[in-house]
Amino acid sequence: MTRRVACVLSICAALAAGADEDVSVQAHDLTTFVPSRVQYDSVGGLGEAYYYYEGRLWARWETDFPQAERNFAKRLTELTAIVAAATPARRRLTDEDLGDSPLIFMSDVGYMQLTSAEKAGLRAYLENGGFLWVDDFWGDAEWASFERAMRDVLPERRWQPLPIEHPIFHTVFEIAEMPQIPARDFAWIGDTAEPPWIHRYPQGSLEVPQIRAYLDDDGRPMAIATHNTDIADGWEREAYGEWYFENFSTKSYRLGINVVIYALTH
Amino acid sequence: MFEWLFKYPSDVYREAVFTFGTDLAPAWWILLGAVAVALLAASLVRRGRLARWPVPRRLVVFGFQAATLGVILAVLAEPTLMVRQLKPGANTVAVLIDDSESMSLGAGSGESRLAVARRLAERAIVPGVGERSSVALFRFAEGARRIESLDALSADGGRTRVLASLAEAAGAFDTDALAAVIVLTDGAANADAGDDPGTLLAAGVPVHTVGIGPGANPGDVELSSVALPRTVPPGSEVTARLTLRHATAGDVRLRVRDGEDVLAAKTIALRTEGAVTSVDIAVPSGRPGLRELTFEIEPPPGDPLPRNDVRRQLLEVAERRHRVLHLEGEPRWEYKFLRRAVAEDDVMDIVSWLRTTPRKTYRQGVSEVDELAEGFPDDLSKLYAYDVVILGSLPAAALDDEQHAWLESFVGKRGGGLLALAGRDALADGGWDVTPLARALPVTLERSERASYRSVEGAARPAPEGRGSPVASPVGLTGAGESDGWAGLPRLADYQALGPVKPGATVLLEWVGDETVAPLLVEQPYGFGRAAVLASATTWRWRMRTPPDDPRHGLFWRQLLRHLAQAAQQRDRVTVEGGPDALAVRLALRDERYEPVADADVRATITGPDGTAFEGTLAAGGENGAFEARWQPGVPGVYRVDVTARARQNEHVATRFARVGADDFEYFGATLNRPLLERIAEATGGRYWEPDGVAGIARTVALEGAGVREQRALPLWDAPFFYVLIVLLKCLEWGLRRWWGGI
Repeated sequence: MTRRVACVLSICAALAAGADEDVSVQAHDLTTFVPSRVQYDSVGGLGEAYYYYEGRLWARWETDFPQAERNFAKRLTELTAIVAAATPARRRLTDEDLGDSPLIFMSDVGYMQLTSAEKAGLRAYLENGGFLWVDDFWGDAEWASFERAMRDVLPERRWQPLPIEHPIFHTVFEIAEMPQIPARDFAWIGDTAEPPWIHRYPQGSLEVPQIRAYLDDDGRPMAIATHNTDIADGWEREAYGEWYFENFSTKSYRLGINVVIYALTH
Repeated sequence: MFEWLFKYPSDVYREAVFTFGTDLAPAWWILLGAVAVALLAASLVRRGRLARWPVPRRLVVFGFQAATLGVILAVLAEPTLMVRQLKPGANTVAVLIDDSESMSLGAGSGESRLAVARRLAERAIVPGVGERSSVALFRFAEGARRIESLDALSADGGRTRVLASLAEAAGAFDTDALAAVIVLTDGAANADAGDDPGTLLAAGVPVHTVGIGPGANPGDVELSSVALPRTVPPGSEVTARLTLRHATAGDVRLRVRDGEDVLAAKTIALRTEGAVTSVDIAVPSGRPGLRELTFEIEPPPGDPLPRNDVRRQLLEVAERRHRVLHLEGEPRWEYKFLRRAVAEDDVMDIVSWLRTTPRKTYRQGVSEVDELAEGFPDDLSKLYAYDVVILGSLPAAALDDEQHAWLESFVGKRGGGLLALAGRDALADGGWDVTPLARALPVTLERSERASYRSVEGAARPAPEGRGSPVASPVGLTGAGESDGWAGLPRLADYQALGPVKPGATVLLEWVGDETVAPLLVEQPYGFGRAAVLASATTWRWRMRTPPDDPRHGLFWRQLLRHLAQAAQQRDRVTVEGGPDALAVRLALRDERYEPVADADVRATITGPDGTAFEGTLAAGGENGAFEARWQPGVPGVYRVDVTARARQNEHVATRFARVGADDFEYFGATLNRPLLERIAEATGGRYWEPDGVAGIARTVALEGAGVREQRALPLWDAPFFYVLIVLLKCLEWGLRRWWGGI
């Protein structure tokens, strides 16, 4: 069993490395807005830290990466005055140049585990004014796992839900309702909540999407978690079809643009 | 020699008219001359030996003889000089001797300046002038006072007002009978500010100045001036500019104290002797309130005047909020981190206008619902309500012509601070090179086909001329020293080529790339305001790539914007200058559009150090919208001045403090001020005299003075010059004839 797991892990690692483009770890043009994805480790084996999808193994951190960021960068440049880099960045929380990305994005964090060095790096990053956006984790168990991993990062902070009146929902677009974006494969079912069986047990309720945030001493969100929703899938799958684009991608972009503008201004 | 030959001194000849005193008619003189010449000519032809000479030789001898004859005839005609001289006994000459404390200092010859003045007056001036006129002696310092004897001089005056004292002495006489004023002084006037020379000039009396004292005091180091903002916000850093005049070179230690607390100290290298050195020192402003700072330099060994090593200055530490308007056309990280840095400043409010999409904008920090609702302020007075404007990556085309004109006048007329940041749509790339604002910027923007803004790494460091600037110094607060503090900062990730730095602009920071060094932060005064350009928009790296407790990014931005904001003019600008004995209060009143307000009722309440108060009115000054007044409260100390201006249903109130009187005034600038004395002499028709030459002053006064005068004829027939000339001519004639064999 151990040998099989090791074999699978080594294949996964090779596939994961092959799936990335080297350019994402290079230095970037800081005169532009560079979408940045955080690479982290997750607990468990296949189906937990890794999953098989569309003919390849994916690590949890690389969910929707890099196509989601590429599409989002393109839309940012088209729809706003932001000049976004076409190629996203990929960084670990311990990278020396993590600060060159004042907004970092993490996805599928329900199995995330952080080392002490990563926690220290993330803490310093947030205290410096960096902005963390965590996306695509559903249900109570994944939330609890994520919250546990983050507990040592900023132990004095507590996650707080942001009401729809919060400025983050109104920087560019007036968002009246927190959007729930399901992964593409579940969108056709009709319910925007993803099915419980694909998430950690006990799932609890997956119905209510929410932004929860760590607030700094001035009340500004320094880290937000878009829980029970998969905003980045709306970016990644914008070409899936007109119906998906109109019902989900537009909402993803609206919220994404609002969050980026908020991070760039607060 | 001149006087021996010509009987009278040269200045008599300058003033006199030459004439002949004989009564014989000119026709007789012509006839007499013609006969004499004819006789001479005949003698040359008739004599045998001379007649054989060639004609040129005979003509030369004839010339000498004719000249000799001409001189004799001239003497017979009684040559005379006609001069207008002081009428003996009808005039007075006022002799003023500086009796201030600086006259007790050395004259450079081992004697004190007063001793030299007394000797000159006693032995040369008073006896000489007294031959024709009566002499009135005065001592002067703050004013002139008549004395009967030179023994009354004691060199104890605390301040020197040369112009006022001269006018006072001149006014004590009927100017028709006042022939001249002679003043013996070192010219170290320290209380002349505001004195009008018109009174002295109107008297029409020539003033002869005698300069006493050395041009420099050997070994002296003097703290000549301290320039310090009057009002600064609490918890900030204020830069004082000190000027040292020094006759020696070497290191001196400078300290700044508030009472017994030493606030700052540094060692200053005085590089050359006989020079002026300026130095900046940063001083923490501390808590709100009025502070009296003492600036002192440790007297170097052998400093003859340690009393000119200390200066005191008042500093008002007060909350004055500054409003900053940030206009940005592109959401980017510099915007966020700049906002955060300024938000931590207790005295700075930042209002931001950001274009988020081609058709949407985002406002932050607005105090009213409609503030910036239309984007750029829709009225000039609304723009003028800000102290500083930051222009980000915003294309010039985003504003119309009127708004561009407003921006230029914001700096030039309103006196605001403007900072232009680098960016894709900033500076020349954004088309700002053809806007009125380009005139205000400290660099000449040059557009090129290739974008001037690019992604490239480089470090920031203080430029040589920027060291000591409050903008360049905060980074040194890390304790590692100024240069180390900058060297440890993360490199910037962009640079925008600026174009040539304008004359008069100052490069505060440099951008150091792998191969080039270029201006990074440049500023210049423009009109009443100040404009700066920062050629980068990635200073946010100084925040994101340093430890969270590193203060340098925030300090840099707060200090830069405070620097720009503090230069910004207030609408009702009140200045109170405290002098040795006077308070000068001036108010420049402006409306919301910074147009002068002339029809105002301006009053001031002055409260002295003992709590007593009096009121006064400020009169309209020469400049439109300016109101001025001057009081002499009498008692030295710190005065509070409350100014109230009422105009057009508006009331402006301002409070200032100033110190009247200061210690040791006489020890500052205590060297011979020859230029002042020369100016006074030239303006009044007198002369400047060295102590060695005062022997001629009496005759000059007699000839050139004002007062009651008479015409006199001075005979010249007995002047040795004529007889020497006759002998000389005959000797030359004799010598030539001997040489040519005619004798």
